[in-house]
Amino acid sequence: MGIVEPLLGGFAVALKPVNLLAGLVGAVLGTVIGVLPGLGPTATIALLLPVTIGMDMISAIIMLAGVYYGAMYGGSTTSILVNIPGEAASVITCIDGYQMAKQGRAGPALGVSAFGSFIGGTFGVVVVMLVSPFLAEAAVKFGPPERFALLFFAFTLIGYLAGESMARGLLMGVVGLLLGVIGTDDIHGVDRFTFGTLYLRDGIGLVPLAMGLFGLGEILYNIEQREGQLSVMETPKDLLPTWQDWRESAAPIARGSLLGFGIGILPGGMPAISSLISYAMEKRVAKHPERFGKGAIEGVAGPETANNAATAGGFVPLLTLGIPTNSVLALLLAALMLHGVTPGPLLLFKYPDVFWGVIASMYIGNIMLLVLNLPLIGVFVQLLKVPYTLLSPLIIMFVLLGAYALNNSVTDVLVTILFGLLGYVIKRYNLEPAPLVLAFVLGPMMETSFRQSLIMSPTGSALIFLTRPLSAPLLVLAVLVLFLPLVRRRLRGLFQT
Amino acid sequence: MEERRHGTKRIDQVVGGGSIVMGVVLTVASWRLGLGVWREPGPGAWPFLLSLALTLFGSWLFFRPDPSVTVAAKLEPRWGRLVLALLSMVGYVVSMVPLGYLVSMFLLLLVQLRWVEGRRWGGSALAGLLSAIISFIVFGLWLKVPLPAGIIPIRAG
Repeated sequence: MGIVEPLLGGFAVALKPVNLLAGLVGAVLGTVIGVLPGLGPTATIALLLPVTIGMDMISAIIMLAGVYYGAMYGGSTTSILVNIPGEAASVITCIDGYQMAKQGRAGPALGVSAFGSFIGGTFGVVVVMLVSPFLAEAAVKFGPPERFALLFFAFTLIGYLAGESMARGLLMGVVGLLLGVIGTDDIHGVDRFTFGTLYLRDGIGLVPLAMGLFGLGEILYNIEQREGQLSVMETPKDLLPTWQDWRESAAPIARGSLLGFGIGILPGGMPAISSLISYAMEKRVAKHPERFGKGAIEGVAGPETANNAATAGGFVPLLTLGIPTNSVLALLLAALMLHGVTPGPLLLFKYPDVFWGVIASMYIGNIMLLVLNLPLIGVFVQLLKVPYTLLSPLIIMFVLLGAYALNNSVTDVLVTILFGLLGYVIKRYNLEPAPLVLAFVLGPMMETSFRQSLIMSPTGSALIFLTRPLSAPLLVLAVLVLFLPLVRRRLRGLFQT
Repeated sequence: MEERRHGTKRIDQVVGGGSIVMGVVLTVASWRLGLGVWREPGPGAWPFLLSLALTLFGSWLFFRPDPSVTVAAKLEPRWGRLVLALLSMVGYVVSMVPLGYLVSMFLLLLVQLRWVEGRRWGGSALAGLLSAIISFIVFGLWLKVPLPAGIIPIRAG
């Protein structure tokens, strides 16, 4: 079957005024919730699901998909401006994006982030369109052992986020994994490290943890370190990226597009994982890796592109096999089923207007988001001209309100403050919060796939990870990532001797 | 001010030592949760492995600290403003339900602006009041977040 004709049909569907409006509402809403801490795309789509019942099916899916990739665009804004990640995929952007803002380069950071998101998202949509059926079959072979191997590989890359010391990064990562264990064990119903408290049975929320460690931690550190009323921010200089910025960002954007899409189609391949791997890869291939963590534009361009490409990639298994690869896509699946459509290999034939309409709307949505986000850069950068002595209390208000709005819980606010204190300690002693937060996100998925793998192992042993054709190479790669720096240091020492 | 760069050998040892102790405690606690068998791992199996990893990485830092790593702090700790900022936030949490969102947020912002940030009285009070009211309108009345009413009987959510 040709692609051009059905795609044109899809555009005819997506360009209907009602669908254009649905896409615009979704994109704007997604951008806003991406910017606001406390509300993620999962919660927003869950809240919107009942609203979509009365809507036309295609309009509903277009709107919900718009919320999802709009959130990926918006999430980076607060990461860059105030060091508060809007959602998990933007945690990495805090590292270099915020440093760029501190050096008066928030405009270029936001610009590269918007363009990278556009390119990654559009690239993802093109590939979804071209190779969906073929890739979906391959993704099905990706079982729990492969998922665990991928997650373990992602975890080993966390060590590279820690700046000067890999040991410190990995230690913070393990702490993050352990924090992810807290709560009731899903399989056995046993409480783990809850100390008898009701609150901890549901586990620690990502939002209080991330907002506390990044947002409040940074504010408390600045409060303690600042002398008088000195600003911690330099006056913003350029509004858009310079020629030099584009040159430095081109290759990371290209790599981020490929990598993000590849990870996005895998079960468990969340945008957050793609941004983490992209960052580690950019640092690895950089001529001057020491610039990372100090405002390297490649550290913004790669991950921001990758998380948007991963978002698009996630639609491959969803639309062609009915397999959601993360919680947001699971809700989109629920929305399709609410309207009587079961996604799978027959979707393309039984509901071509849904499949191609959603694909075409993603092209339009990406353009909408770029047009929406570029003029806003100037507005966002103006925010940094507000005196820090005024901005700092307002950020505290924003963080505490966001923490409360999540579950209407005062305890969430208190937990956010506690993590803020931890974030201050981490910052003061040059430890890095990003590995902790990312490992916290990866942890529950790692445990589930670890346990599922052992249960399905024919010999009832951990050998299953080494006997599968996809998981074994991933684990070997992970071990190489872990030990390569040690081996290299040892060899360098030998040569110097 | 001249930036002071401290070697972090001691910090690595403190962090590493703490991690070893924590790792051992958690290993025992995980063991008690039940490790299960290979084919059916118990609730303690995963945390058990993580606790061992924590002990391992803690030992790495403790026994092989990296003196080349520097700390970011420029000054000796100045606890006054930090403690005040933290206490005002805890005060906000405690007073949120009895006093209500509007009053407790106004008080938090007043303390932050006036004493933590050192801004003038009038400006601090005005900025605190406006921010509390605007955030109440956006989150409480528009986004329907049920913010506690407390002593001012305007119901949100």
